Amino acid sequence: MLNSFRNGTFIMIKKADIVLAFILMLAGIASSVFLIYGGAAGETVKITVNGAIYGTYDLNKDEIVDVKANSHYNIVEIKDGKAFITDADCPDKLCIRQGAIDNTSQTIVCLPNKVVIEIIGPDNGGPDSYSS
Amino acid sequence: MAKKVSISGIFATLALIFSYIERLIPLDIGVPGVKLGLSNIIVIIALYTLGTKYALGINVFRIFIGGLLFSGVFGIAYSLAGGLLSFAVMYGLKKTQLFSIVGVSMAGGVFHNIGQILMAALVISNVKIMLYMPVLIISGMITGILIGILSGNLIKPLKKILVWS
Repeated sequence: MLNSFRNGTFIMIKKADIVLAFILMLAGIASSVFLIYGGAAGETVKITVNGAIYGTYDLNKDEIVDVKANSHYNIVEIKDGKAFITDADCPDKLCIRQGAIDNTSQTIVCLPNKVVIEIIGPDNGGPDSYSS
Repeated sequence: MAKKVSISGIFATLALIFSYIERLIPLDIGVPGVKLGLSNIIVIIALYTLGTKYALGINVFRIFIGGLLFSGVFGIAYSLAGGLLSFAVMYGLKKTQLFSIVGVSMAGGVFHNIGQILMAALVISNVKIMLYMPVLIISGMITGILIGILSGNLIKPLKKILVWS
């Protein structure tokens, strides 16, 4: 039960609410655990635009890649074994804010420009192939 | 009937204003799709007061007009996927009568984000975006609970002010 207004308006929290909250939290935690422990150090940076591979680059070789597609651009910098976006013409700039990645469980996504930066390991896999 | 229609009009306009206000509030944690969902207050209140049909109408209206005004065609695709999935889940949970408005809203927030991320995976043709799922589930829960508490407390005074039938 939750009394949130002083004039006595009540919202009765029911048992099913709590059960649902636990299920959702469990789903959230389970998927994060899977992501955190499912990753491995990567060697290659794979850049895809609109689902098609734009190029793959060595993570251990410093390089600046100008991803130009569909009259948009994202500048991807590979430096000290990490990949990150330094500049882009997308409106929200969330891709820049997502920071540097170096693990197969990480990605940078620029939704407006449909650009995805992934790290792939020596076995060419993401979290799914970690067990192999 | 006529009163419900006119109240729907007011609600739809309010939902648009909330969409606009939401754009003014920076909630930028670097993950696409995380937002407050302020206009969902209106959709939930409508669902609990006007009924399913009116609430769905308001929801679709705010998605299309809000999308055209504030975020463009792709924005509409994301909002539509999120908005309709979340509405379907909220309608289903409400119908069981097992959940309070807060539980319904919480599920709505989570499934709004899930709908959006599925659409995003489709748009960029890359399932790797699912990596954002944990953040989106948890953030959807938090915002959904807050929106649910707000809506639940707004319904009572609103019922006093507006004549519904």
